[in-house]
Amino acid sequence: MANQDLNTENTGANFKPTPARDAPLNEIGWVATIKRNLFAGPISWVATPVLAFIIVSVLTHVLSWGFLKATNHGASNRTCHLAERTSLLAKGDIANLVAGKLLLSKSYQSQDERLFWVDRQTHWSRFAASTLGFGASYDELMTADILADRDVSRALSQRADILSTIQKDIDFIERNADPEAVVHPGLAKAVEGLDLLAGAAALKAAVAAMDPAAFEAARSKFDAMIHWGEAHNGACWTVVKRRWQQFLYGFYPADQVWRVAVTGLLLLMGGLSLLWPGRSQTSRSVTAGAVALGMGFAIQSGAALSGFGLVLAYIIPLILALLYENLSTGRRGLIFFLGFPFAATWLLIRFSLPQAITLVSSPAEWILGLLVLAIWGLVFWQSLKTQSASKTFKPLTNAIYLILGALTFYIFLTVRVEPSGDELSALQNLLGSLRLSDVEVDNIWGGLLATAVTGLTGIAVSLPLGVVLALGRRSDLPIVSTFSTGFIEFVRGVPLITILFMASVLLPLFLPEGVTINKLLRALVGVSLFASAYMAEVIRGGLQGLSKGQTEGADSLGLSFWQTQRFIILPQALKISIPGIVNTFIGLYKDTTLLSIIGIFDLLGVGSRSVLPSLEWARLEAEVYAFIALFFFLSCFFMSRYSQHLERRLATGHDH
Amino acid sequence: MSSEAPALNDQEPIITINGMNKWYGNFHVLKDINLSVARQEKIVIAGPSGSGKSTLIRCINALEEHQEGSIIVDGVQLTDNLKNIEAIRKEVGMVFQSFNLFPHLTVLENCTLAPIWVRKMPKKEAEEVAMHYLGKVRIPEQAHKFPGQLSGGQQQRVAIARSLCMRPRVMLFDEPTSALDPEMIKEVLDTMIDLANEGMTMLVVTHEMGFARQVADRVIFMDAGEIVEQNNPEDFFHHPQNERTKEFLSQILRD
Ligand SMILES: Nc1ncnc2c1ncn2[C@@H]1O[C@H](COP(=O)(O)OP(=O)(O)O)[C@@H](O)[C@H]1O
Ligand SMILES: [Mg+2]
Repeated sequence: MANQDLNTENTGANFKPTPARDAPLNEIGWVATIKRNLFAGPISWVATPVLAFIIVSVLTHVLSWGFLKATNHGASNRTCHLAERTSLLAKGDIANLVAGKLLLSKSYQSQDERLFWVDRQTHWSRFAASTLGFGASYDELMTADILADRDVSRALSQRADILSTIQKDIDFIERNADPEAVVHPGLAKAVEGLDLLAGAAALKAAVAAMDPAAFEAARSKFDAMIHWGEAHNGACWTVVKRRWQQFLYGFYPADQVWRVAVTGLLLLMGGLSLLWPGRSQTSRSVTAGAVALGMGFAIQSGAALSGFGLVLAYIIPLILALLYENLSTGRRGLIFFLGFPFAATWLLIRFSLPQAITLVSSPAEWILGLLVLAIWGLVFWQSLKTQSASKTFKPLTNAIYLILGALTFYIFLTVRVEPSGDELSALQNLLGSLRLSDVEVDNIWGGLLATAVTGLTGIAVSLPLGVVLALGRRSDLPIVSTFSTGFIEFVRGVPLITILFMASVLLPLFLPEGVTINKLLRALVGVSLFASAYMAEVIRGGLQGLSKGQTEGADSLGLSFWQTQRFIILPQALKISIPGIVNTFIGLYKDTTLLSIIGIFDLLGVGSRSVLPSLEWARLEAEVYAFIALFFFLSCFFMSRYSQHLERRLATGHDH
Repeated sequence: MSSEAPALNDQEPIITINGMNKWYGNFHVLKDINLSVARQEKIVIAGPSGSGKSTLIRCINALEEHQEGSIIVDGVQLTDNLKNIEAIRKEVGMVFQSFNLFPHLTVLENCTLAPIWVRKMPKKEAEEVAMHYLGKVRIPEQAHKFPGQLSGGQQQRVAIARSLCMRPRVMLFDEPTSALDPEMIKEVLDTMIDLANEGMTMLVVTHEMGFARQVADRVIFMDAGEIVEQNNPEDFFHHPQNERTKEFLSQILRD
């Protein structure tokens, strides 16, 4: 009432809102955008061009090395070295040398002045190469070094020798020709009809006569070959191509590698359909089809099937994949998280835990099996009860439960068929023939397989364990909170390597005589516990971000403690913690490279300890490490992007 | 008094508090509280900030525990027995100053969660009940939005509906309009008046004296952890007995 009296002219029928005007032109449009973002003030006037220049030059350098000039020919590093050598004969390189020589022969005022010039060029080349990553190639650096040595004649005659070396290389490759190792077709054409040895002699003569013109004339005959060399003097991806299997599977028996492939495809299908729950039916069917095809191919190539078996190898995965993709997200999640660990361990090492823990007798195996079966029975019983309550019988669900149960039974509880000379019963024979062969567990784990197994196990274990520890640390029960806090603080306060070593050395001390746990399992435990401690703190941060009102609201409605955690607290706390959780995942994933310290050849270990030390891949550090770095980058980048996608999907208005 | 069979007798008070004392550490926050609330009675609790109003009603549904005396709600004695606490919370709804809605659930899910998991109601039935009460607080069209997309007044009405979905016998309100912009206070008070007219037992902590005059059967004045005075609204506002009450009323009714 009082307000109305104060501004009468703006109220009632007289009130007309002032019409909106367009924003000033120099505030919108692309010119304004560029100005505002890139050239706003003196600092950005300087920074923008400088940074743009650096970015462009780094990118062009990387692109030309990794793509435009890269090769993947041949069976070893020879072809790549050939390109490098050939390019050393390039005109610019020679010209530099000749110029340097002339320069040195000029009569300068003093020796000092001459040295000063040479030093400066050396410094510049080194600076350019190390800081900007462009300008100075390997040979330019060599030029500078040689100039610094003031031994230009030696450098020039080295260039002449290169021709003979190239001839030897080509001869070697042709002598050892195997279908995949042909000399690069471009080179074959470029050297056609050339007499490399005669050319070398001509160059040497020119050097001896100190005659740059003659040198240049002799050199120019090889322009086509040099051109080829310059065009292929980039990354040597041959190493990745030829050692691909080892990078992926480590030292897994080559004839069993298909099992790893099938496991990977199972993971891919389960993961894809759970990471994007809302996909259309069509895209899910397409994924299922593609994955099933891959599985069929892997099984076929691994088991050398024919006829009926071949048909089955494609049909069975296809049916299972389509059935799986048609289930609701919840069911798929249940099947995936319950089934995949068993399927994967069974496929990869045939037995799950009991095999990894080598037991002489089998009671422990039986107890474990009975436990798992009991859990399975409970879940199945629950499902049957809800089915009968809602009067909808789900044949597919039940079939999958039965398969899972049979699998559990088979994996844990069947008596082992020992390859003794004893007569085997018909049943034992049948079971034996169904079984995949045992894979020796120690020392085969390597490459991406070891990295993925450790990383994924760590992720799958650390999240739930982290939740439990975080809740435990906030618990009102002193014993629980002391234990959780102690565990977290201890594990966080110790370097991962120490934990890995302790797992290798100390753990066996706590185990009864005769029980050994293999190296990978110990590492898995170490990495998972380590990540759990970090995860617990991240999640505790999320829990602290929630107001007390959330718990009180839930309490006032009569929800129990666990219901409150499950429906109210954890969903919100985990959502807030997504960036931190993914951060921990990424850290854990990269920490798997530490496995090579306790003797497991993970992806990095395969590269640095198995591939690079071999003679045929010598001097390819850049390529091997670039490949490994690229792989880690891509997977971590995927995780980071996915977490952002998830945050957007879970956003519910402007709370928090 | 039988704590076994819930008292169905309408004459018996629904809440009985006897000689209740509460401390926060060494701080005596509630002193010798005696209070009994009849069925369908509406009580407004007033008093200066820090006098223990919130603490008192939070003791009734065991959000805070008391150290001495007894609280009996609908025939069930409040002890630290979890079973009893859960039984009482089922029957006592509460509306908070800061709403305390669950921001990650839709309005409908906010309303159905407790009926489904605490009352074991089938999902479909719970949704029907929820829609019924959302209609009562006049926001059925917002059922599929998230709380963060609603105004403060709408959120508080959702909070009321959420409590009602449990079909409680008593509703506790802790300053339900204090966090609201002035133009939204009325819509929430109207909802509460509707609820009162339908015969709900209500304990309301509020400074809205207009609401107290219109709805309350009894107004309780608290200061320094004690119930200083209680009376019907007419006498409470016009013939306050205690000096502290007079002073409080003169401050709050000044404008
Ligand atoms: N969790 C707590 N710990 C210690 N003191 C508290 C706590 N909660 C409230 N108090 C104190 O108890 C007194 C009563 O609080 P409260 O019941 O919230 O008052 P009102 O609701 O009447 O404003 C205040 O002095 C307050 O500071
Ligand atoms: Mg209060």
